[in-house]
Amino acid sequence: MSEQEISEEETLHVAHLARLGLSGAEVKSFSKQLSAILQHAKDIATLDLDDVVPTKHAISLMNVMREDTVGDSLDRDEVLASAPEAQSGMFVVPKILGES
Amino acid sequence: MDLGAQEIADLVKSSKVSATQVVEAHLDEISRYDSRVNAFLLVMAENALEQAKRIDVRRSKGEELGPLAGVPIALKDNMAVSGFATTCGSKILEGWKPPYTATAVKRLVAADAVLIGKTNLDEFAMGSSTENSAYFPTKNPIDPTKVPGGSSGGSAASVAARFTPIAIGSDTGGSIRQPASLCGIVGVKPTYGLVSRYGLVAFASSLDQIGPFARNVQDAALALQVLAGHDDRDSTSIPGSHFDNSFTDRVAGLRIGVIQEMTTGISGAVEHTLNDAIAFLRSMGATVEAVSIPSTTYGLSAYYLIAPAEASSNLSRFDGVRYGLRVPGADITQTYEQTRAEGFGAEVKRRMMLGTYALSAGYYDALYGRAQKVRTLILDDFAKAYGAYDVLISPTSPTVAFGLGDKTDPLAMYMADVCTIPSNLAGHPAMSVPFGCDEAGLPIGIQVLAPAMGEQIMFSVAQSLQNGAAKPAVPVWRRD
Amino acid sequence: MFEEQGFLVTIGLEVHCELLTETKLFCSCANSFGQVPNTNICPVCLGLPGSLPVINSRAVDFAIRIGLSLNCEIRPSVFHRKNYFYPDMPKGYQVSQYDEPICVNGYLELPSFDKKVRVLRAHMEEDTGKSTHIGRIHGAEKSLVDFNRAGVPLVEIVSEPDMTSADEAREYVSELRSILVASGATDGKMEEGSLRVDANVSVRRVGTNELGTRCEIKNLNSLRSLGRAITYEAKRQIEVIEDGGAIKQETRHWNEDQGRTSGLRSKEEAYDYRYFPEPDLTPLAPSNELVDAIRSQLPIMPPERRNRLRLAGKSENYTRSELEQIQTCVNFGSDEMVLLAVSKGVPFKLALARAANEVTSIFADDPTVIDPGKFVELVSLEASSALSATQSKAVLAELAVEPTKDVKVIIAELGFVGLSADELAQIVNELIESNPKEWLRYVEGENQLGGFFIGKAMKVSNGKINGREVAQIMERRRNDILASR
Repeated sequence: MSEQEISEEETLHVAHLARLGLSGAEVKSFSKQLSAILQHAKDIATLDLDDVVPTKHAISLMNVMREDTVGDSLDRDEVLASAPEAQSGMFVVPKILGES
Repeated sequence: MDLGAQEIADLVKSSKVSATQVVEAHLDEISRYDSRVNAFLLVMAENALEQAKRIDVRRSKGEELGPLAGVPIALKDNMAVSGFATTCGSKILEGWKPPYTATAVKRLVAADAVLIGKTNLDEFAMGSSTENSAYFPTKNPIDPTKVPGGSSGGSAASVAARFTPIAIGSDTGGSIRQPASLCGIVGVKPTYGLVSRYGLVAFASSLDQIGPFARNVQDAALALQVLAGHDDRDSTSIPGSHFDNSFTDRVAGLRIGVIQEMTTGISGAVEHTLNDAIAFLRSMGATVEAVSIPSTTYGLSAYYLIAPAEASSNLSRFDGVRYGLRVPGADITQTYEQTRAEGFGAEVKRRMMLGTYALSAGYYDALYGRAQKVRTLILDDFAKAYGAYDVLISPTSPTVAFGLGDKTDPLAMYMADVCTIPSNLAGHPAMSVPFGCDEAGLPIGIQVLAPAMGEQIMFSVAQSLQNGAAKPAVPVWRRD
Repeated sequence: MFEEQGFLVTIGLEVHCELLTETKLFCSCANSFGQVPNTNICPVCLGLPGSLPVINSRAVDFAIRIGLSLNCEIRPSVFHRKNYFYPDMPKGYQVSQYDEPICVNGYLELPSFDKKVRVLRAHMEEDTGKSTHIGRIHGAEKSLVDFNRAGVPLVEIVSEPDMTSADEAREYVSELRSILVASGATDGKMEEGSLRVDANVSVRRVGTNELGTRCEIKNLNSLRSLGRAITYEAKRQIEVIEDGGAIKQETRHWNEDQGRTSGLRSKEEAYDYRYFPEPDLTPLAPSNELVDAIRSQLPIMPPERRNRLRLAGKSENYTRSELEQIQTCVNFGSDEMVLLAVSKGVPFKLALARAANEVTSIFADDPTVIDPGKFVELVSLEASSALSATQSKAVLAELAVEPTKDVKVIIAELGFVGLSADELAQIVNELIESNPKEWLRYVEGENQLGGFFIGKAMKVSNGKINGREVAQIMERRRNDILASR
């Protein structure tokens, strides 16, 4: 593999979009590995696909809906027991940027 | 321990054996040998015995029991069972107990199957060797120096090791069929939409499908009959769908295509077994011919864009807010990044990076968008092939089971799925049937592919192949 | 609105409205406001691993209703995932319609401006939960999250940037609100957040065609905030440009107390939502039959109702106050009784005035109480002078207390039974005889003394007379006297 498809800078940007903290070593290895995988995926770049409709679902179902009828909700205390942090019946999270 | 599911159910229903006896015997086998395989992340012994007891009480009252009466079943640990830890083989979900149960699991329980434990897997079903589990690798019961395949390696190993007659897995790109092939058992990926995905922790939603492992074709069909059926909770569940477990082993007069694109780059032993299978099917009266499905060669590329893209989105919910691991940081963004850095393993991170990239601004059309178009080509090519052939066959895996730790290059590992991926992209059913083995005795499976909802004819061909198959491989401790 | 300063303002609005379904968009949790936090949650709306969404059919009906009410085309649509991280968004993505929304290409009329604002699209999406900053816990800044609202069905209505003033924007939202409420799809309560408005504001110099860089203003919780925020933001942008600066495209927060907008404090973040089709849902393609059925169930919308009233009044030029009365009747729902009254021969202006003024104040608590038939009976009597305006209003007030009571019975009980012409003439004669000086002054042209006689007549008749009729009798008598001189 000669061509580097994804720079380390791009790798860092993608990692931020995915909210993945990466170590310096991971940034290096991921940019190499992702580049190799994308290089392999280049085979589909050569196909003439202009008139091809993309397939979003393998099966063609339409209009699957449910009735607007109320069902059971979960027990709040049970749900909050699984939370990393909870208080006053709510989930507690660290400071959100932009809130004050 | 060699009893199949149908035999156990018959014995329990006729009170010749109690469900408790069956469960105790299987738990005993697990406690004796699982240390050599590491198939299970969780053995639900207490629950299994209670369930068995209830079945026995009902039997004693003369109640009619379900089709899987007393049959011990292992579940891949990416299916929710209320109150039992569901880890997906990941640290990020360690200790999390879902407050609800997957529809497929409910159907098994309603059929009087006994849930005996949760099996190991590649983290979030991403992998082909079960080495990507955050907990421990699972070993191939036939040769513990080899991988069992993946990602449903724990479930495949459980059945191959005779820990359970049936296990349930999930197949996104071959995760049932490839380990079935490597462990010498039957593995089925049903038509997309035949089995409800509700409660299956999603890897790639448009490809994931739950299916059974068994040591013979009839047991796999029995399990599928129970699993299949419409579910209101899954919008992609096919209305009115069911699987009728009545098929023959007749292949006389059938037209069978051998996918040419899947006969290159395979090992000699695999090629040999494929040729044996072709010869056998011809001897049974089938017409077997080579058929080209050109677009399948692009399947791997399309798959490794679509599946990671969907996964990158599906795994965004693991953020340390509502459940699972949290590694607190100074603010929410840092908390996300640290939690996910620590909670996910390398392969999961790699695929999320790849998927995020494929969907990101400027790349969507060239990567994800094109991959979806390739999917259309594959569907069209399959449709053409099924105009001329009733079913298609191929090897399931290009090689036999490889050594633990042998494949370190991610791309080389992805190649393990080259024959299985096209069926996922098309949403078609496919299954692996053990047919031969290499000189070292490692199993080799044949893949049978059918058009959507073509399970009946697929099972007929599989049943026929089973009649001509080599002697089943046995766990290493039975040969000691 | 800033043309004298050489600038034009352009405004586009994005309005989110919560739908009045029983349950959330993708799960069967109750859709209800003001519940104990985290009690309306289930595996689906909490984003638990393995859960799957299923579309609420009533939410789709409501979205179609909204689209039809805004003159949109109803199209096959696809849900996408909009990927971004936020603690009140359980799945790490919001399910929304992206490039294939259910409703496109509609419009809405601004009655006071005689203008159509184009509606680009109206699409369905799920709401997020709510996070509240609470300050320090154990030394660290924290927020609390409640997921009751997560998954509540929304329709987002996106206008083209067709508005040019704060007044137009306010009328757009007020008109949109009354249409949405009339459609039955939402309660339109801005104060409870069931209607939320974001404004895209840009300015450009007069004489240029290219739109300026826009800023999106959030946190507009009332029509008043909307108007103030737009005016403030336009001024701010003009100042920046006149100082030689450039407008940065950004999201700005409206602070009602300070009366200003400010940039959100988030760090520079290139948004990349990585939209892709939601694989867990099927596409929607509402059949023509369904769309027609929903269309046939729709009530007549406010613009059409205003038109009907204008036509009934047969006027080319309505006064500002009459136009306001028309709007009031339509908003209140008393327009139908005006039409009914006009069809029975009641003068339009009389029926409109009673329906817009008295009916709306007397029946403010419950507009459904008044029986249109009784309203028509009452205004007919007033039109024929059998009842005075004062009497008519008193009868209405009584009807609010006892809505089923017969109008004639109320009139009798209140002693409003009209006097015969002879009785009336007799009363007037007696008054002239007992007040000769005042009568003479009236005859000589002091018209204000007419009121003196009407007042006296009211008194002796215990309010049973119609003042206008008394005035007519006096007028005739004076004319007779003057003619005989």
